[in-house]
Amino acid sequence: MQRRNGPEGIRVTRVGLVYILLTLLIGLAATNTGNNALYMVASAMLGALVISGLLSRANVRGLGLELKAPGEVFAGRPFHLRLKAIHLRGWLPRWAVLVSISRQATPRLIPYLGRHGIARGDLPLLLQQRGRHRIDVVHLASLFPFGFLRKGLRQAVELEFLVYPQIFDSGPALLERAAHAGARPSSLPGRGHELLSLREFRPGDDPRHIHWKQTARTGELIVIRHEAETGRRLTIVLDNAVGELGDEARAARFERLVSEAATAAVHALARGTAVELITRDQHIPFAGGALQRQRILETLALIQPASGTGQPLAVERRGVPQLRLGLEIEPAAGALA
Amino acid sequence: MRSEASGGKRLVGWLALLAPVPLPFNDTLEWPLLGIYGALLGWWLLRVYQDRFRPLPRWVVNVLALAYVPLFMLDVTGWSRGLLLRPILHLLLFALLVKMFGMRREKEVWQIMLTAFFVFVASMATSVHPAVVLYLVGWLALAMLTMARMTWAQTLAGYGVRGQDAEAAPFVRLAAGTTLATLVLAVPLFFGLPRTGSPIVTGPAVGGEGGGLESGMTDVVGLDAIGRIRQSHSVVMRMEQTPATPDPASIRFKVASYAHYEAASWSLSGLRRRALQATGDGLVLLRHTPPVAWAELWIQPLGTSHVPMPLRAVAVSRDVRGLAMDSAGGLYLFYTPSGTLHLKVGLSRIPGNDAPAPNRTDDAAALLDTSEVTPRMAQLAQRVAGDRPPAEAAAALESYLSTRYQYSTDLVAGTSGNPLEDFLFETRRGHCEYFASSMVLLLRSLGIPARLVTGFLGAELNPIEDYLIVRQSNAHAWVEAWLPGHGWTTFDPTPPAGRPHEASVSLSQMLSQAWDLLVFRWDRYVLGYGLNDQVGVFWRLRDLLSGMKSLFRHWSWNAPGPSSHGRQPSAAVPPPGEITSLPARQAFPWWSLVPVMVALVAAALWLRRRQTRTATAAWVELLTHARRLGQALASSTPPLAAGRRLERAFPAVSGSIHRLLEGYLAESFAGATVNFGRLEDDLHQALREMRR
Repeated sequence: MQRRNGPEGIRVTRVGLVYILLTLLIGLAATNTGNNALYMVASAMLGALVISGLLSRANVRGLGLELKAPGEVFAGRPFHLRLKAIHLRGWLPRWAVLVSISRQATPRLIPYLGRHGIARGDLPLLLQQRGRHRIDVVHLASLFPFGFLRKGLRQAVELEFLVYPQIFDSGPALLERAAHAGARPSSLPGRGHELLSLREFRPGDDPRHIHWKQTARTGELIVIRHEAETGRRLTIVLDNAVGELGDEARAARFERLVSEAATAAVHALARGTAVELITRDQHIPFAGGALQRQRILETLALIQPASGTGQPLAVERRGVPQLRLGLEIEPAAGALA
Repeated sequence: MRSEASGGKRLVGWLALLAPVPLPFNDTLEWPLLGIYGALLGWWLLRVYQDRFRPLPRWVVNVLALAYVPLFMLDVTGWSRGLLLRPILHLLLFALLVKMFGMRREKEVWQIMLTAFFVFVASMATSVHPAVVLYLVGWLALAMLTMARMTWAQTLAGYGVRGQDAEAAPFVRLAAGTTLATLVLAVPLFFGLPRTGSPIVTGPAVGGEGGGLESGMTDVVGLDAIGRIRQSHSVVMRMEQTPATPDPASIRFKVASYAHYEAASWSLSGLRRRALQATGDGLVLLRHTPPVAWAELWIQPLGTSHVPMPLRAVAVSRDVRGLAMDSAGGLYLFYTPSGTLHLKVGLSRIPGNDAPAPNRTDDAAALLDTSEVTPRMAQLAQRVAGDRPPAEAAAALESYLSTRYQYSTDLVAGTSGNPLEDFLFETRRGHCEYFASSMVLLLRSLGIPARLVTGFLGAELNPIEDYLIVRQSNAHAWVEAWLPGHGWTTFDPTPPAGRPHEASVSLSQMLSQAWDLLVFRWDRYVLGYGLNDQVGVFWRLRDLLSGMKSLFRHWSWNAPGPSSHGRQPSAAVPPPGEITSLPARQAFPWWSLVPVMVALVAAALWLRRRQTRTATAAWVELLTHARRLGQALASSTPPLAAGRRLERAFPAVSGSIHRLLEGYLAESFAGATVNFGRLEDDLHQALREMRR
């Protein structure tokens, strides 16, 4: 395993610079005059400088950092990573530690962390790109104890999460674009009771669906997947056979299409509509509820352009509204967020 | 944040208040000025503590600054008579006050700290008392506390964290810990920072403001002076002798000889002083007698160029420059030392005086001057000494005075108007000068050249480190008489009760001696630490290391080698300053540390190994190690999940990890007894793989 921890250098602050200059001045005066009292002062100042460096180094080490992403992260929408800092080792508490995702980002301050203490906070983040996002390192910095030096440290963390496509406000408009009108509202509930399969718990799952027996056996949270009910339906057809995107405009247009598909799915599912997603390489059958939402969003988060076949993606769904999205299909006016 | 801001202000206020405290003790600042400064700053602190402080308007601050300019010029040219230190200190204190009363913004706190720092440096630079260490520690701790608090408050303010969160942090403990760590580091730095020469140490002279003793160190000595100065207990000098002097009470130090007596005062005649040159072996010879022992003297600044010398002194090392000697045998410097004078003196077995015969001195006439000898004195001398030979006559007069007269420091005036006549024939009691002066005149009336000698008699032994302390209370006067065939001979007619002697040791004296040791070592090893000492330290370290090396080659259990000074008399005494190697046999204590250290390390390793000998401990160690490497394994992570994560991260040792996990689960949750022996290899393997 390659270690990603490491120091990020020491920066001398203005106060530190003045202090160092004063120390040199006193040392020079002591040497010139031979006054041992001045030597005492110079020794104390040098000692304090060394202690300051050692303490600032120790202050950013020995911390356990945990980052947790929220259940759903959307591109273009600010969110907060949950930060948990644990005082792991050493007998010194930690003072005024600054934690940030990148050296340019606004850091989060941990004012004081006692021995064996835990501190929690949020790290604001905004990601523009959908897909898998990985945070490998977290940057720590501190001016502790006297503000002479700003000590930095890079600490490895393992956080991977999925960024869903951007959701626009134009959901209703997209739904109206659907090729066919929706079916009559159904009085049947939106969740089925048939067991479909078991899988690991994901953020957003209903806790009532946890299979406790399996969970105790495996040590991981396991949930039951139910079949979706049918009722009001919507088919979203996203033709991702666009080949090499080439220029930025086409790439941006493709991303927008993905976002529109996600927007339509989210809004439809929120209304209780069963949604189906069809792409060139994936098919998610009709279903409603949070699980379907997650399934669709995950698929759209990871969807990539496929090679074009020249044939349009034809889907026949009698009586079911269809939202067709593709690079060759002209968008409707006002569809942009 | 408001509480943090005022907290920082208060601390800076205390820093500024404490900074100039040592200055008046060093005669660098006037006490009234410190009082005014302290009162104003105390009032300011009170206002801050009550949260009622309002800064002065800017225009007032500017006017005050302008108004001080003419005062400063007056201070430099008038009050301080061209010396700059005091005016600058006055200016700094004034600036501190104005800044504090006009403080509005946070950055001004840093400016005040900087100004207070310069006052602190001035206080340190002008201090020589050991208590300055306490001042340094206190100011350092307060400064660290202030800087830590202010840095923290500024950081919190920059990220919008409220003040109440700041109160929970233990700053006092932080300041105490960092101060202690700084001091531990500062001690070797102090001794290791490069020196370029001998230190310049100045201090108040013994005897008070004007410097110099009132008697015995000046050109004119009154009859009652020594009695007065003996009331003081101030240390005049300290002496270390190798081998130790057998009887500290009998040691004499000669300072000056007086030949002219007139109107109840003795005065130095203008004796010519000849500069003393070092010989080829680096010694300045005082007498033509080889030394059999060596002593080191540390003479406090006496405000005079006279140098007290033991009567047994025969040579001085050439470290001290500018030595001169007069025809009476008194030793001088061509300057008045302002700091502690350190001398290495060679001693003979018995006291002596190689001063020339009276007819070859500058004050030959004065040595036989009988103008102050009254007829009654002459009759007395004849009656006591008769027609005896000079040596017997002198001994008879000495015995007569010491047995028939009483020593007293109470001055009782007689009726004759001649203090010596009153002493000899009416009061029959007086100081040592009366005894010595009387004997000088009586000897002269018999035609024996004589002079008064002032100096010190006896010393106090500090048993803690076997050195002698000579105080002002040891001041004494005696007689030197020229005896044909014997040369200049010392006589002391003062009764034994009047001679300085070592009293029985009391608790207060023991405490006094302990304090004197502290001051002595402080003067010697801190204030007086110079280039020579530094070189000596490095040479000693080198000798120590080479001694330890030779110990490993020639280890022996035989009797110890040469003793330290003062313990065993020895004819072969090395001259001072020569560093000798540590003999191999004396390094035994160092050798004994090695097996002890080996045993300690082995015990620590065994204990650590013992602690790991359970499956649970092994699993915890594995997790701890994984966290150190950056694995995000919270304490709430279930063991199975943790195990799976580790197996994914380190597939090469997944089997070992799995077995460790099973052992942990069985031991901790199933109550099984797990044989750790089998798991030990798995643990080492897993740790080794992780470290790669």
